[in-house]
Amino acid sequence: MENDPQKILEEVAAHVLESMAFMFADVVERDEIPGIEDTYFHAQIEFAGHSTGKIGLVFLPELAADIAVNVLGIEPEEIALDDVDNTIEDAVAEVLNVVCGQFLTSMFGDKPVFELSVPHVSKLDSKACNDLLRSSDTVAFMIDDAPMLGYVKLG
Amino acid sequence: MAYNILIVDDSSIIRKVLIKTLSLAKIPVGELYEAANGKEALDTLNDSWVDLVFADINMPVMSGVEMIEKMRESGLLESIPVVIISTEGSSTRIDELKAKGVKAYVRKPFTPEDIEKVFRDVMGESNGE
Repeated sequence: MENDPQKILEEVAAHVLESMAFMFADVVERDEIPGIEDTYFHAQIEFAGHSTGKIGLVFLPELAADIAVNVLGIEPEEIALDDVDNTIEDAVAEVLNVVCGQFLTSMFGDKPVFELSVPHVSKLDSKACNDLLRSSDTVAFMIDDAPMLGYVKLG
Repeated sequence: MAYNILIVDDSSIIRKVLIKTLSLAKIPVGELYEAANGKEALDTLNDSWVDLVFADINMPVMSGVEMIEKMRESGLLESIPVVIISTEGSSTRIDELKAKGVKAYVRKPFTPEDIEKVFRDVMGESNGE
């Protein structure tokens, strides 16, 4: 049976967040996530080679800040929520980079070689977040009562 | 003995995490240098004495692979051991890197134990046990 990319993304993202940020991501149904009213951090990476595609993760800003704090092992006061120094952006980009690497070997095995793009981080408004939440490509997580969305698109 | 270490990664986050990990792993560090790509790393290697390089593969300006190739072309830098730290899990790519002279490969995410083990293996250091 072919590997299910959404299922693999769920497993890999949960594993990477636990390993890098010591945070436990519970996979939930998309309809368990209430409507999104905020602007979220959106990290996206593209890959090419044996297969092409892109992977994205979408975080509530406070959750992204918590991830940065845990990845760096610093105090919450040391992070600026407006991310003037791009620490949060860099942290979520690196988490996504690792998720993508782990996803590719889980999905395609360890023989194929892929080229990964530099992760791109932007802000996603509430309408775009809710559109993503309704997409069947999207997987949903809850981390300490904060939602996180993920998606993978192949080809 | 303390070792001068160069960390090459375009992610400032990974450089910070690796610096903290070296400390947690109780690696005896002398001077610690950072570079955001292979070109910056070569500049540092040409200006400073470095005992060990930890490098990423995918970086803008100059990749880790190109940096290693340039080091191998240089008589002076050829003998400096390079450990790759990357998200890549392709055994094909890892074999290619080892053929270019890379001493070891650590996959992200890594632990202090991973870094300590690879340091001891590459530098021939005993952990005192």
